[in-house]
Amino acid sequence: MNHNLNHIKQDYKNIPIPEALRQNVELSIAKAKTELAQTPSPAKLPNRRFLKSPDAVTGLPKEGKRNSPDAVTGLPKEGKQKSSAFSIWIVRGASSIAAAMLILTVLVNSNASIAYAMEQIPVLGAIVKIVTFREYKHQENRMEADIKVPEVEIKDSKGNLMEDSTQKLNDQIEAYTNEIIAAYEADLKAAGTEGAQAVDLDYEVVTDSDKLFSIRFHQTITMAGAVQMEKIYHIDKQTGEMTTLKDLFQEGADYKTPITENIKKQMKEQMAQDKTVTYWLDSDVSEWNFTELSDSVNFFIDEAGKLNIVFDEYEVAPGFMGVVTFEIPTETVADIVKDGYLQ
Amino acid sequence: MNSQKMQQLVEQELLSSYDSLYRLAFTYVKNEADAMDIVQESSYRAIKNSSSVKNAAFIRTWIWRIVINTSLELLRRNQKEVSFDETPEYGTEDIYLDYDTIDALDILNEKERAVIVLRYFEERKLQEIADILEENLNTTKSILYRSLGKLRIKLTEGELCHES
Repeated sequence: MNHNLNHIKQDYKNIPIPEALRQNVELSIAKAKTELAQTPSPAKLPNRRFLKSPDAVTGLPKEGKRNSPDAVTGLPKEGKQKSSAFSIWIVRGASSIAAAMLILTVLVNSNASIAYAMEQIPVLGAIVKIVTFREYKHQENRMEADIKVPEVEIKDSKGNLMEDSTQKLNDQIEAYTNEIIAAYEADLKAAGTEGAQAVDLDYEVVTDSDKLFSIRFHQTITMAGAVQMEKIYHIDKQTGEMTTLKDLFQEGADYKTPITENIKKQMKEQMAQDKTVTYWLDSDVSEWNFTELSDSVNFFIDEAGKLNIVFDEYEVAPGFMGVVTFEIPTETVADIVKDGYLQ
Repeated sequence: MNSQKMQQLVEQELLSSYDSLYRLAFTYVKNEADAMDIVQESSYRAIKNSSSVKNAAFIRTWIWRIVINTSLELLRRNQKEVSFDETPEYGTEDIYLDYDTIDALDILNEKERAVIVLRYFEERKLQEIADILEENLNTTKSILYRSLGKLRIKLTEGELCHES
């Protein structure tokens, strides 16, 4: 009687499940969990897994600030290239020993140059600099991680170490990086020898003006596709304290509404201009929609003194949009911004 | 129940049913990359919003609903993007498995397709399907009748309502 339906059912049951599916699901779960953990209390990680970088020495070559040329960042970042990215993994697996050695050499060399480049000379107020960094590195079969953990030092204008502020910032950075390491180790354990994943965390100083010192972290997780996440910390150089978006504006001023409205306007304009652009503004699933700026939103101030708001992949748009950045015209918030932060 | 516990339950459910979720997504988008995207995206959303589930008994229906919504969203986006891009690719024909029979589901609308897949392929109870679609039981039954009619499949009343 329902012969036809059984036939369809058979084909349905025969739909092949891609090999990478389980891991991708686990990765999505891990990503969501990482983002949900607001006050992370990760397990203490054994220190021997960190390679101590050479101590920073004075000397200021400006080169080599961004990244070592490792294999990880060479992988395709677009979610649309899934199948090809996967085949790259298979190829890489075969030559993993050689690759691991190569990466290690490159890193030993670049550690020192990065450390030099990170020395910062301030103009006035607090002096903020990255004094050293530790590195969590792991490579086994097709699983690898390269996570750089900088250590920052904040001194007042007289050159005395501001212990509380320094401690607070370094604790935050460590909590953040430990979270990433813990997620990687959980994946490693779960996947056994079948795993194929690369986690890369790098940082750069994006702002070092009279007013602000900002350090930006880039996290890339590469499996079949890749997800990117950002985290930016700011130090007010007048006070040496950590700064959030709220602190750029006058006490009690409503900065969220004008910025939110401006971003929504930019989203609509972009979507009207280019049909391939999608933001979640009025999608069917209302809880995904971008309604208001969150307190902990990532931002930075670019060289022109403009405020930029950064959203992680998936935060306000489907994954294929990647990390998205909106430049906020200064006139939008001209009435409420504190003097000197924006131009 | 605290949100930590709920998150764990959602995670367990995702890890035990991701292959079924994938197959359902596949019946909508018919290609591996998109179906995988949908399952990943849905998993992410489910964990992120797990604290909004009030009762653990609804986790499963809630996750299915997310997958259906995500599939539809992706379909709509693709419709906008590639409506002129329908030239057949002769060179790749033999790589794809023959999904002619699954293509038969194309005559069904989105809801009808979900009802058929969930009822007959995933063997869900009618009440559960009604919950997933946020319809009442009678509406769900009539969607099921209508879908079977479109597929030209005739079942007796007994077969239709038999709960496995």
